[in-house]
Amino acid sequence: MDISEILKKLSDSFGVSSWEHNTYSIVEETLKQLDPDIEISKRGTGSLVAKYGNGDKKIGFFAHIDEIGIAISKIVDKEFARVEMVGGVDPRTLIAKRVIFKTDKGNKLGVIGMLAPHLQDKDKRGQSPSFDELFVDFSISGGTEGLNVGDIGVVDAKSKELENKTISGKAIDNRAGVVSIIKALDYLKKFKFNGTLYLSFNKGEEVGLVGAKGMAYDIHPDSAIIVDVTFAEDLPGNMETMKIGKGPAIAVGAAINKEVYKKLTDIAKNENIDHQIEVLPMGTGTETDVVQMIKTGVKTGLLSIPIYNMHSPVEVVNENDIDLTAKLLALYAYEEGEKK
Amino acid sequence: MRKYLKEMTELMGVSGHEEKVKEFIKEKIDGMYDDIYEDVMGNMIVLKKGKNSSKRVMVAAHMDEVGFLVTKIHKDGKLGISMVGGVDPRVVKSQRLLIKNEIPAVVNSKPIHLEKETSSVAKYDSLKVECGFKKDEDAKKKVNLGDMVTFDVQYHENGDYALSKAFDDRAGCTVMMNVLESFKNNNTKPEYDTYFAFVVQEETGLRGSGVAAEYIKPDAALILEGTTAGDNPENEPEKWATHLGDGPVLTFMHSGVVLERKIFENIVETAKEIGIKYQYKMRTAGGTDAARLARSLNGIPAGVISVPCRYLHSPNTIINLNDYDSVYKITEKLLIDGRMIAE
Repeated sequence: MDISEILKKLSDSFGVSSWEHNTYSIVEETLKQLDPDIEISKRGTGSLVAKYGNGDKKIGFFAHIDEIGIAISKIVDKEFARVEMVGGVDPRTLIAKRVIFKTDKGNKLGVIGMLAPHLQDKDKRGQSPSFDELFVDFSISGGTEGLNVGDIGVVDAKSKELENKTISGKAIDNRAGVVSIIKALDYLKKFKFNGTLYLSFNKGEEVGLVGAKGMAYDIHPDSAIIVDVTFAEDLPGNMETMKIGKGPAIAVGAAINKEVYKKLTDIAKNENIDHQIEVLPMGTGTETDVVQMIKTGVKTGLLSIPIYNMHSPVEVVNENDIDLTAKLLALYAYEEGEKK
Repeated sequence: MRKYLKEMTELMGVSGHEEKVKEFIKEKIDGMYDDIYEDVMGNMIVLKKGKNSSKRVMVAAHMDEVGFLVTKIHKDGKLGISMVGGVDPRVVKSQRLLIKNEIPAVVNSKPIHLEKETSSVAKYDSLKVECGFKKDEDAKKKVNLGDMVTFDVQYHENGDYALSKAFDDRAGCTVMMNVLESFKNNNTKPEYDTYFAFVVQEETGLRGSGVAAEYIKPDAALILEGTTAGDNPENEPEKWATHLGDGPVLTFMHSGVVLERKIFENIVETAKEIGIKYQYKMRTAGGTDAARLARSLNGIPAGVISVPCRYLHSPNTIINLNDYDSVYKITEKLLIDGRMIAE
């Protein structure tokens, strides 16, 4: 299984929160190729879960599959419409971009316009437009006819391979996590696995951790590793910065079970897997925050893949970090499966 | 009429790096002219002899586009860029770029989680270009200071509209290429000896056209341009400069020059005669090479016809193809009828 090939396909796929079904087909196809017998089902509000193995110990790998996007909030006239965000979108990342909307009649292309410098008022140059001021120009796709308030869109940004095994795309958050848990299964298949592994591809994380809660409830694993992305940008001076190309960030803090944390760091050390420690004293901003408190509680761990430019159309990840995350996950599942 | 719009807008050529654009034009117009000349600055001048050699007409469009140069290689392997021509930093954030036409790159964007205040502008001093280099030595193997950087976008056409970068002013260049081709295919000629000047460096301060004019010594000139529209919901209609779909933009004055009245009137008359919709430029901001030509030789009278463009100087500029077609039609008619010479 080629990580970069699948990641690019997944990142290019349209899977804004509420449109995850569109991206599931790629996941299902990839999983079936790895293991034709794998049990795949949709549960709860429609999150996709794959089950591998039949042992006593239940291990869950969680990755959200949705991505941030935009929604039509008002049709202005025959050519223009206004938009609102789906998930945390910086309006500045939309300026002068092409956007694709899903409508009843298929895809519709628009452009988020910006007044040329020649016509700008001097006093407005120091400020970036808010969502109230952004507009989408649909002249290039026949105008706003057929477009409705509530139609969902995303920046039209094809993934691209950069130097040194880095890849840029619009939905690396969290298709990088999605690829790592699939690749973990690929690695795990080389072992004699005695547990049961659930791969949970959750909906709606970007709009408030929606899918993970139900899936954790449904699976109720003995332990769960959440895989998401983290910032590779410099953090405030009192915090370590996670770096691209230095392996997964293993989280430690209130949301993380100490046994799981120890196991992950022990495996990483013993197997010489490059890794970094990310301290998250309170909330993690990931599905870990809800999974931890399901039913009688779930032992949670969090692996984060460092990326640049999170929540922009040009998120950047290093392929090796995904691979190392997958290796660490596979070894974790194997060892947990051996437990009686 | 619309031939080469895709190829020409996708070609990379910021001011001072127009070579690829020039090569492409030269190859496509082979056999359509009587003489060709390239000057020290890089302007390419193509002569199409007219029925009458008593006067010389210059038609000019600039080959360069706005973009950037690499102006810094950071220790961490990221690049710093500075603009060539006027590029609002707000249209650069989180864009895909190409370094010297070959190395893909992206522009940084601090996550919204770490920068909640989103009304500030990420200026050039905070923009960093990521190519995936691990550190500066790694970057320096492939990138040099001064390398050209452009937006990385593809041309898209649908119905009456086209979307791409660099319509300013590859649209003007393709009009000239198509007029040359029409002269050849229809075995027609302009009235006067006509010099088609594909000029350099308009975006860095109208640097190429005056030098081209020194060689041509024209009696009059016609500038073909891409001009700004401003017809969007955030701009009150009174402030629109032009409107897409209302036809070619005829300019009576702009920054740096009031255009020769007689030529302007002839252009308007010609538009009326061939029955096309046209519009006047309602704002005088922004300039063209006409301002330079007014100050070249002992002063060259000029007219300006433009294709209105939305989101000019951004990676995603939209034009109406009917407007474009009409620019072509007026230009051809003006040249055949010899109406650029206003007497």
